[in-house]
Amino acid sequence: MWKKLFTKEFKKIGQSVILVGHSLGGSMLLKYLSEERPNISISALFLVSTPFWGKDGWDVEDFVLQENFEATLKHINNVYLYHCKSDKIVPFQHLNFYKKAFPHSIVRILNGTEHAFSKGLPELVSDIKKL
Amino acid sequence: MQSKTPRKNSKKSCSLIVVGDKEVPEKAVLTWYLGSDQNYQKNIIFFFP
Repeated sequence: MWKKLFTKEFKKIGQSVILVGHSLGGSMLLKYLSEERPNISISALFLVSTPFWGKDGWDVEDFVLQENFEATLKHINNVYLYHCKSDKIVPFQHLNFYKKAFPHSIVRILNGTEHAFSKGLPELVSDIKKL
Repeated sequence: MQSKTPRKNSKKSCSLIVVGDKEVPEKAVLTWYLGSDQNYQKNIIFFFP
């Protein structure tokens, strides 16, 4: 169902797009982009507190990314990763998977325990404005 | 001599799609900051699968 929703929204895009995925939203975004390969121009991909699914992370098959999924996303030049050192929901170690998958990404390691960023995420806003 | 012509905004027109986690309230995630930026405000699409 969520794949249909993504397809519907992406069809509306007539220009380049900045994509931000937060937590499970980031997982879904990666799965959709790597498996459905929508024909859109992505100027940057921002992943915030995104969990890693698999044997070394959260083992739920529905969200596991295909092997070498990152190869399908090579066209995205700007990838940014954000994760709090003491995230209470998604362990900080999950960030390592994405750092490895996207070796050229810009990684923002944040202090604190935030996962939802209830007071905002100014680092993300600043990075978007610099694009 | 300096030109008095104001610089044009060089920012590209760009849509912003935020895919949030349905467990996290929309306004609690990113809107407090991004929502105040007129460059993106009208292009932000939020959806929470």
